[in-house]
Amino acid sequence: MRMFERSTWGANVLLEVTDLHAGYSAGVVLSGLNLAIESQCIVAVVGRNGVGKTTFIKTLMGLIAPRRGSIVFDGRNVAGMSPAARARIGMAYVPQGRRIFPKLTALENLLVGVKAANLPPRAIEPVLEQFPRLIPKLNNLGASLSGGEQQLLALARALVLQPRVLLLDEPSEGIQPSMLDEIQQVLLQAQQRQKLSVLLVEQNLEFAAELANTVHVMDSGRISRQVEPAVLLGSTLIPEFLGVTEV
Amino acid sequence: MDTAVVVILSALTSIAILLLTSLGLAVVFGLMRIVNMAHGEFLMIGAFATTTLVRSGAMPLWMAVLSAAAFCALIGVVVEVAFIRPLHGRRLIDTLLATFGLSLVMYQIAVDIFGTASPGIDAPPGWLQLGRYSVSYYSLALPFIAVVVTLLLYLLFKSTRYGLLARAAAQDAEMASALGVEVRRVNLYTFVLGCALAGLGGALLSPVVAVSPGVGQSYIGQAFMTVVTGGPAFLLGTLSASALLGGVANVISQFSTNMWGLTGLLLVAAVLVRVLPRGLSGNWSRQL
Repeated sequence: MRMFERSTWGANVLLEVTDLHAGYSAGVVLSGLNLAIESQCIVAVVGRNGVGKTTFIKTLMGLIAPRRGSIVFDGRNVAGMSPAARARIGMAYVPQGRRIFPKLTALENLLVGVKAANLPPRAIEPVLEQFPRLIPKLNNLGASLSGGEQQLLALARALVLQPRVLLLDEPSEGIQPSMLDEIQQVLLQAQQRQKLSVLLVEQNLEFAAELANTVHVMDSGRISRQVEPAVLLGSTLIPEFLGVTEV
Repeated sequence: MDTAVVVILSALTSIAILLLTSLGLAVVFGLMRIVNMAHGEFLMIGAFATTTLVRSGAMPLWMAVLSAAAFCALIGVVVEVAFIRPLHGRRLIDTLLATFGLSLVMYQIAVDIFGTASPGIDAPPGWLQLGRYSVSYYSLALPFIAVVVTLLLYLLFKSTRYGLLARAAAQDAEMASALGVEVRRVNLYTFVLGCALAGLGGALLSPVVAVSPGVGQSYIGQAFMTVVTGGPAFLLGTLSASALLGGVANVISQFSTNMWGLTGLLLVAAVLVRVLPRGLSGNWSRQL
């Protein structure tokens, strides 16, 4: 169920990426990527494996230094800022594979960002209400949680920082379908209540289509075009987005 | 009867000394994956700072011990910023070489200042009479001090802001930084804490050993074996390894010589690492 009409989004851009080039030492992965994300909008980026989606999201968070281009968040160019500085001004990251701290408890996982920002521990309470499934697990070690619970924890860990944009890398990977609905509900609620924007990188086209307000297709290190979310559900185009025809 | 008690008390003192001389190394290796080859020289600086302060009459022993730890912390700040930070993200061997070079420089500076032999200080007076034997109160106090220091460290890592951020950064530095943790600053604190602990160890040792510029080098080998044998849980693992290795070494040396004791320590450590390659705490789920 969609809570907002797509056409009501204003033209206030929260995050604008211009001519972004980045990559690992071996070669360039992003080459001239442009993308704008409006405030309180869920934007999905889809594309074949290896087109640079994860590199893109890591560059946004400051984990990979761009070679060229600008990343303007809330009117400031953050391209030279450290990941910690970006976290402080409202960017949050949920990585592929979740990367829960395995030897910290679920509660400690939530408190890392809270303590780093010098917020009081009770800052996690409003977010925990959205994740009732996590409450009985708070004293369990991160490593002992199921994949789905870890994904919820990774989301909660990002949301306790009250971010303005959430960078989500493959949240549906390895998660059972019932959990996916829960994740969708939490994201839609946060979009509405916390005025959150989301950049979602996904292989699960159905998940992306149900959540996103706009969908961008990524190809060879740049955004090649924008499509309507409903288009993702048309089976004829799926090979283009997922590359299942490539051997 | 009194022989057995004395053997046990003496073993406890050896265990305490092993623990106190290993904790700094364990903290830095456990949280930063850096092998601080200058650890022994920090022990030595802590010992010299203590003997110098006490002999000059400036302060009593306990105050000199704390001042020595603080002095080593200050040197640790300089060393971290100048030598460790620039090597961030480099291989283990790079920091190993850098700190080894540093240890040679620190040793030579100590020789230039203090010469190769220097007058020591006395342990606080007081003996416990046990039948035919007498044991100094100071060597009885060392196990208590070691336990208190370990407990304080446990609380530091379990219930303070720094402790949580340091444990997170040690498990996944990139993820911690994306959550707002200033990993470089956390690592500075961790390295400085390790240096302060080394200084504290050397300071506490200074009344019971001959303090010389080479004093650190005679402890660093055992400290390495203890940290490696302890494994990933850097507090309780190091505590367990100290108890095992220190106990074995001490009991052997009481019935033969110190050299055989040290040989026994190395043998037990070698066999253990062979059987448990990840150390005593290798399969524990705990980090501390």
